[in-house]
Amino acid sequence: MKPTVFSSYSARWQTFWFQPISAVGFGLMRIAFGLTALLTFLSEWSLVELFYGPRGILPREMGPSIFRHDWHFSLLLHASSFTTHALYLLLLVTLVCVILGFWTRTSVLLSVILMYSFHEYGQITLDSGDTLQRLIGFILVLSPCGRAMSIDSLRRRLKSSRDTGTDIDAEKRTMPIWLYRLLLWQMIVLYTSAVMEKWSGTTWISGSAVAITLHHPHFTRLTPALANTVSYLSPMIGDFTLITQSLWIALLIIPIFIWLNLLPKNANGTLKRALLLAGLLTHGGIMMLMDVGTFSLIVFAGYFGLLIDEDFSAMRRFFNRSKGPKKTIILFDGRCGLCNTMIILLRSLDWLQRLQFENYHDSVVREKYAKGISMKDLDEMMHVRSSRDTMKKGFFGFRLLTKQLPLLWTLVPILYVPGVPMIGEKVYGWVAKHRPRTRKE
Amino acid sequence: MRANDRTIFQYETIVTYKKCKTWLVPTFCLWHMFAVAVFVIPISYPGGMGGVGQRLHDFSAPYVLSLSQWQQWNLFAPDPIRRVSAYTIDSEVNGVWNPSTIIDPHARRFYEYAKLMKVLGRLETTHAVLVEPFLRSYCIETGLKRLRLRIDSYVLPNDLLSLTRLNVASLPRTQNIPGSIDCSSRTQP
Repeated sequence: MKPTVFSSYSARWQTFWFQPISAVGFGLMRIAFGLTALLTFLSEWSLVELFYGPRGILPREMGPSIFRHDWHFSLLLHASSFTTHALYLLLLVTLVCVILGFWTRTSVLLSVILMYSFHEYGQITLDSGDTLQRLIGFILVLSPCGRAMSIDSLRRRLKSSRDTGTDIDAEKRTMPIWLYRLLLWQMIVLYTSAVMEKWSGTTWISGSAVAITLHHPHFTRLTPALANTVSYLSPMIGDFTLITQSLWIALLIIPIFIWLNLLPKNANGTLKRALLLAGLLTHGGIMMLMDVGTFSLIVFAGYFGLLIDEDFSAMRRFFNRSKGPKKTIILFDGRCGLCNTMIILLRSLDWLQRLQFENYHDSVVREKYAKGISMKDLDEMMHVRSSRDTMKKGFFGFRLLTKQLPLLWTLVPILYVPGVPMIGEKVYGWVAKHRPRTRKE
Repeated sequence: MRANDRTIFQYETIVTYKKCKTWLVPTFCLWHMFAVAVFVIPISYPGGMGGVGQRLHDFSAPYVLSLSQWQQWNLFAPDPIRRVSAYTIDSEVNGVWNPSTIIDPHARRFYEYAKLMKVLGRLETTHAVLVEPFLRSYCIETGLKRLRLRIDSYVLPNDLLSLTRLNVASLPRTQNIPGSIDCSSRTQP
């Protein structure tokens, strides 16, 4: 049957909302959201009674005169002091589960309901960071954010590996794009309304806004003398903020130009990444120069969720720009359960796609990558062949791997500290000696 | 016959589910996007668009408020806060008010600072009614009889030249007493 105009539009509609994208961005956002919320609530540890208790700054009986009358919900409205503390502890526990990705759906839902309860009750304590936490939390509740970067996902992959000998389908590590679109819209609304507010004032236009905030002792981390000096940069920093925040709305307009073939297809992605980079500078700068709570941290969490496949590819191209097409090859024991588990772990950490995994029990693999290495040697410890064809084994193989895995980059300098290789070799030797080799072929 | 009926039923259910998903999810997304946007933007411009903004805001309010999706992005805007306040709790002894506790958030743990400043700022501006319960917590802490919150403030200049050579000590100060409490009173606020 010939495709009709309607079916063509229907397919586009379907793609626009349901195209599968990598769930890694949302997985990272979930972790960053959990960490930020956990830090926020832990910082209130000694203030729970004052902020949320029945005899605190907002006594229960005063609630009706303070809260809005319609559409208001909080589990704390009638809670005793004990219940308030119990709910607070439950919130901390669920946030830890959110970070780890353990019972992800349930823990995200519970933590967001509890967070709403505390925020809706303690409105007097809220800042913009708390507001964005709630908004991101809502989008996370709707999403399958446990499909990547979670214990749940790792358990599924390990189970699949045990049961079928293969990893789970890549399809099961994706999510529909409409969740990303909701998040992108939220960030556009945030920046557009923020910049509209700023344009309606006078100090952002005159260039003194940043200087004022840097002199305000409630926010600044600078000494008065240093604040005076940095104030000379105020117009430049202010203009940069206004321009970059105004440009977020362009993410809605550019797709129309792309559709009309007036701009290249990657224009929107490039602009988004540039805006994310500008946002990192702005909010990173705010975090360094001022104490405004957790706003910068939760914005960064939101940025993680805005990363989709094309952004990961762009990042890979950037970080791998000096690398050739050759990958780092890991020769592993395909019959050992622990080794297979480690391979699944390594696969999930291989964000730059620099690793290639080869089972040395395959004679073709041995012939191609491990010529001249005895089976006994291969069996004793992990062998890693670098992209420059040098073979490293044991601890030194692991050290080579850490250079390829962004999450482990912080370990690299430590592993080169004199003495660490010696200890590392011993630890590796012990683990290798005691690893189970029970998996049947 | 029965088997066939079930097959048809299942087939139709699947088709309906897929169709529903295809239209329900985007409808929800479009509604959410609309509601969030119209709730946020008219707050700054309530009279804008001939009052339509405010009506749209009210229309989306039940959804936005019930899901706690309310938001207002006026960080350091329209202009950053220029008023700088120092908070002191005075106690009355023999009819004379003396400073009892200088609320210095810098003396608190660093991670409590931003929250406490936010609360004190709200007590000063929008939530003066909560000054009394706030002071009550100090009644227990200090064991004193009568307490009041005193706020000493100055205002930062807004022109760049003055800010690059600012001497805070030279700025004029004002004082404000937003509330006091009789700790011996049993009456709860």
